Amino acid sequence: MTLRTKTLLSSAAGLALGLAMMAAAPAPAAASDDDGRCRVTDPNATWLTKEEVAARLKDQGFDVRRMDTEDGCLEMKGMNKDGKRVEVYVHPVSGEIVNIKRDD
Amino acid sequence: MTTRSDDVRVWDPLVRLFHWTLVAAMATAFIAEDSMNIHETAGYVALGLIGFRLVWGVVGPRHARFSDFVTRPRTVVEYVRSLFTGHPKRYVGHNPAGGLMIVLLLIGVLVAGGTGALMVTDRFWGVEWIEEVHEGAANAVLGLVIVHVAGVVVSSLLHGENLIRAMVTGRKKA
Repeated sequence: MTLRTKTLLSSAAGLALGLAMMAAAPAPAAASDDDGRCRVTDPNATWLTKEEVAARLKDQGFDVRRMDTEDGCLEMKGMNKDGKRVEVYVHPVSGEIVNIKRDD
Repeated sequence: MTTRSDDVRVWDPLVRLFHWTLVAAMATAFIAEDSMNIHETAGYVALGLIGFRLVWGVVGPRHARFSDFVTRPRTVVEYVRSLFTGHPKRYVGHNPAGGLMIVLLLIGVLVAGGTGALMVTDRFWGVEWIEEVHEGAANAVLGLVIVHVAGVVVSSLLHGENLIRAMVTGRKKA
């Protein structure tokens, strides 16, 4: 193998390694949005549906744009009653809001 | 000791700085996917870089200009075919396949960054289609990057030159 080929393969290997790390790396550990507050310990608990939670939040004055799940919580993306962008995290059994994050 | 010297200046300092800063910005955006402040900053940096590149592609030095490497689809096909003959036509600047890759990457990063910026406006906050286009474009860029690196390696081997190093030093052999 010539020096030229070695240099090329080293460069390619370095880049490939960087790419592989990029694609496979798990998200860096950050404080989770719910801090474990959405944990459900009772195996017989009834889980609320996204629709039920959305309806409850609408009643509270939120403009519900999207429902998702994250870290065991039900997550609502929308606007609060002041028209500000928020993410609202709701306990899937109790329906309690455990966290509200403002996006600004 | 290598027997040939890289004595032609091909990539100017700004185009090289643009390239590697974009690599860093996109890598950061991917890795910091869930850290919104870092992710958004990386996205805005990427958008700014694209803005620069679009201008530089018009007024920059010869091999930075789009006119130097954006070609018709048929030229791209001919170039790719020539790779299989073992005697591919060599381009001092970007070859036609590389030129196509650059266009696709610029569009991909623009769409990913642009939808990302829209996602944090009141109007598009929580709107599903924007979020899906954003994610789709980001994944497309990742796929393109993998093909891009593979293509650079293949072209390098077939032309007997180190194109990765050339994008660092700016120099190729004549």
